[in-house]
Amino acid sequence: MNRRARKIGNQIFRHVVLSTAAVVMLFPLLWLIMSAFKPDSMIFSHPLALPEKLDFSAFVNGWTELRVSFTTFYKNSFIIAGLAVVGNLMACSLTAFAFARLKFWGRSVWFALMLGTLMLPYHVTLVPQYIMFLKLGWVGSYLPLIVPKFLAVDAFFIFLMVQFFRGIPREIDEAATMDGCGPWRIYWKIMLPLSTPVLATAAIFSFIWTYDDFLGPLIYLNDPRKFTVPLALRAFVDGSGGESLYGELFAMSTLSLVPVFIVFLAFQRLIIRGVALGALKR
Amino acid sequence: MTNKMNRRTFGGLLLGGAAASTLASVGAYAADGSVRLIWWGNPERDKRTNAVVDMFQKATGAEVLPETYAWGDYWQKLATQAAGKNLPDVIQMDYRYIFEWARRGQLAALDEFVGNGIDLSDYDPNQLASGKVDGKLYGISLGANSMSHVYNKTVLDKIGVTLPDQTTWTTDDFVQIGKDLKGKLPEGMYFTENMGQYEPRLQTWMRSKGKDLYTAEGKLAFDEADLAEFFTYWKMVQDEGLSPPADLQAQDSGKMEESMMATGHGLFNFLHSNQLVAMQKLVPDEIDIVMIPNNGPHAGQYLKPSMFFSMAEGSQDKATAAAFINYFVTSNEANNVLLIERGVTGDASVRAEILPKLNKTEQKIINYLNVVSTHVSPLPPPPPQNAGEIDRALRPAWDEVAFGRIGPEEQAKAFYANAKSILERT
Amino acid sequence: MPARQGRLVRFWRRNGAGYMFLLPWLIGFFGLTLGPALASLYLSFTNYDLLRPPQWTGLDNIKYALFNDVKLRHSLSVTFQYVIFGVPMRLAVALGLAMILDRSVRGVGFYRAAFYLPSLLGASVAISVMWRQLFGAEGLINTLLFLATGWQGPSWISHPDYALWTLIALNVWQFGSPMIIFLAGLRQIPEDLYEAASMDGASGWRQFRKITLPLLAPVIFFNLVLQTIEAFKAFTQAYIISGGQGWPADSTLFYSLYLYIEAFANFRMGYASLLAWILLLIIGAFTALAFWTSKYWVYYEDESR
Repeated sequence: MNRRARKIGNQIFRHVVLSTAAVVMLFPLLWLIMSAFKPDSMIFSHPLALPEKLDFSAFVNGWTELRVSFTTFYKNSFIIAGLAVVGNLMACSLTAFAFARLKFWGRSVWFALMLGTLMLPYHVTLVPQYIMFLKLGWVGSYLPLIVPKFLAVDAFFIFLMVQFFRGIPREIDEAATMDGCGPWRIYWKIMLPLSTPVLATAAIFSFIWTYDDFLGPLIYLNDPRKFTVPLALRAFVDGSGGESLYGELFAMSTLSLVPVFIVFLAFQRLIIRGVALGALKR
Repeated sequence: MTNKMNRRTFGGLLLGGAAASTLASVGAYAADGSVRLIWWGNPERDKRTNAVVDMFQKATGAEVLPETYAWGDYWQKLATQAAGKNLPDVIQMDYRYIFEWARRGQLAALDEFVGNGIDLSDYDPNQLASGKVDGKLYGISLGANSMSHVYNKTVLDKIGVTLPDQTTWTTDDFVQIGKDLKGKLPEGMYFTENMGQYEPRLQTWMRSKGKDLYTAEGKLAFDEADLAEFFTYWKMVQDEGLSPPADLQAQDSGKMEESMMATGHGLFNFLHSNQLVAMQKLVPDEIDIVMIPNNGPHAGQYLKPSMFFSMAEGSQDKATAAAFINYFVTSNEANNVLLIERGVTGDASVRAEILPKLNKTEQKIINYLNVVSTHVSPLPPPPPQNAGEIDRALRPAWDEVAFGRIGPEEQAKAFYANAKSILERT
Repeated sequence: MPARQGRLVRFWRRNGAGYMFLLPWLIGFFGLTLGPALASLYLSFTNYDLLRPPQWTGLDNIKYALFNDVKLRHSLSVTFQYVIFGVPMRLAVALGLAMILDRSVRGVGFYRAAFYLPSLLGASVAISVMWRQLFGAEGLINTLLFLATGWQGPSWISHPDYALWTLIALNVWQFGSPMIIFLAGLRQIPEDLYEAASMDGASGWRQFRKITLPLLAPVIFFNLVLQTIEAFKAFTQAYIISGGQGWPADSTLFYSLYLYIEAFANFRMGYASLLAWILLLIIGAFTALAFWTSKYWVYYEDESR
């Protein structure tokens, strides 16, 4: 068989599979976006109809429908997610460096415990943590949402970084040690610069997961002026049988996707390089 | 426990001449006071409540920090705050929970503020009594309410059917009308949503037979046979094709948008009277409200407080909290904004002030409550501690019947045993 | 004294740097994880309604969980079904698409983004409304089914036989993060291996069996463990889609949802703490099982066979 023809055939096959999958994947989202442009009564009675006109009123109204405008909610979400990124990068990379490169008494025990925390359902710690933060006087502020990130509670990122650090040739830091570099300099001057992909990966996932988090802000924030975007979105739908604003909900949900989508699009190449699995070992 | 709200008191106050309109006194507040306020609701309620918060702040100089959540998140939020002794000062409460929260020492008795910060001189004493726990006042009712049936009037008028007298019609009449309407309803529309899943419908069923859900001692006040009858009736309604098939009915997860009426699948729907306004906004046709048909000689319905404002026991600024509650409940300016979104207020002078300002749908609620108030039985005793759990167990239990997984009698037996064991658990 | 001091100094010299780097994590581990977890272990033996102080009830909670709690058993079986069917399906889809994406096709960036987009959504109110629309009686799925086959399907989302499957479908739909990890793993398989196999006339399937699968085994294992843990903990999807109650007829009552209801709707914080610990033990057992079986199917590059 003609190699070239086969290759082209393969290409076409792949595109057919991929674009079918893409349509299936994206259709629900298109529905969401379409609904944002329809009047409430049309959303459910004519779920498949195209909007009759590009009506942006749900976006305009939704933005200011609540007592506090979405400008504030976005600002809050960005502050929390931004600080979470900084915290996770600093704390997790320090921890990962210790596990990947330094020798110290009890290392494998700590490492096993760290991996063990991956299995912990958050329900286990929810209430005691709340009471503790309350006694510290932190409830109602962003501290309970941010400080844990500076204490490296997210074992997934530590694990990711350990794997990546282990993939960096040891010769590099051995040479540096010979030159009289301490662990701190090796970490700061050698490891971190060589690890941008994994740092980027951790940053992106930290950002997206913190940005999407609902339960944390629900429990710890009281003042609507401090609410995050997902918390605000909940206000559009009422479970107790009042009047819900679905058009606004869909409009604001669509908008809420924009930041994470931009972050993802901009850095998606780095993400895949950051997940270094060559050294995936116990 | 006999908070009678009978026709004379409630209806009389509702229709009676306006008492001299008193300017709400703002009470002994501290101008630098600051309180937190929490409620569950929806954007419309939020808007009105926030407007009143602003007005209060402007009028007094005190600060009110509002927090609002959807019903589903509300109780979790409140529970975590209570665990941390961090409850907001003013708390919207539900009749189902007020006893539990009061007896667990979370709520402050309001008696010391009555006449001393909170002016209840025009307030219907019977409606007030619904907020009493063990003789003390723990919540001030924000409005009266009752269960109801709502129906698509436009459709029914077009077919040319008139309903019998709502105060005397029976569940048999209800089924008969449904059967007569077969084939005449618009495509996809069933006669009624299935109400076998609703605890309040079960309660009216039992009360109509002279029983109730719970006794004052917190035991079950009906027996297995009554429950079997209830399940059998609603299964029959479904099997006759009067209500939608089980999977369609089960699409309603409790949101009004998903109700059979709003989605065009039901002519009749179960509703609390204050929800009529919201439902009307979802349905293009005109809807009307009637009493629930009886299945026995007794009055199944009662007037209930829709919700309360309570005060946290741990509040640091009870005077300001009281001032806010007072403003919210008794001032004309606040209630001109709030109207009857939280139910019909028990304050006579406020009611006289707002009645003329209501729209047609809201008027229907007032008229309905006037009729109901002449055919009600007393407010039942407060539900026992785990009643909420039994309420939540009813829907899945009914679903099993509706999907034909288990017969009505068998399920009645199972559910009855389950309910008993839930009540015994701590 | 001096000898002791000397030992301390020596210990510090050897281990000090490591512990300095570990310090933030150690504080977090003891303060935010271990401490609260132990507190909740204590609560497991109490009756605690959040409003009053906890009361010690000894083994009552455990007895109830083992002998009386029908819902516990039911919710466990729901969760097991979700894990057993959902995780392999999610991984299969993620792996399949990752393999196609790995071979250079035009517009790879677009496809990757399109496949990842649903995962970015997480589980929000909008998703739940959308999913109910898709799988409802008059939803998109049924409309398409009717057009294609003339058959009017049931309301998938609200039928006890199918509701769990709509949640599994949601989980599969959001396959983005395992896909990314697979992509990263596939990158590390040298291209020349495939080329050599092609020359030898090995079919695509054979290449997959003989090259991709064995070399990717560690990554598959990693994803499997991670996704299984996630699936056991799954909560939000069921919470938002099932009316917060596991409807219809408890068919989507996930274990974590049951735990949540016990804690925050029924205010049995003590019992819920026990449920959380049981979940932790189950996840631990599954992880251990996975590690134990991995000996037989996961080979690491530098291990001799």
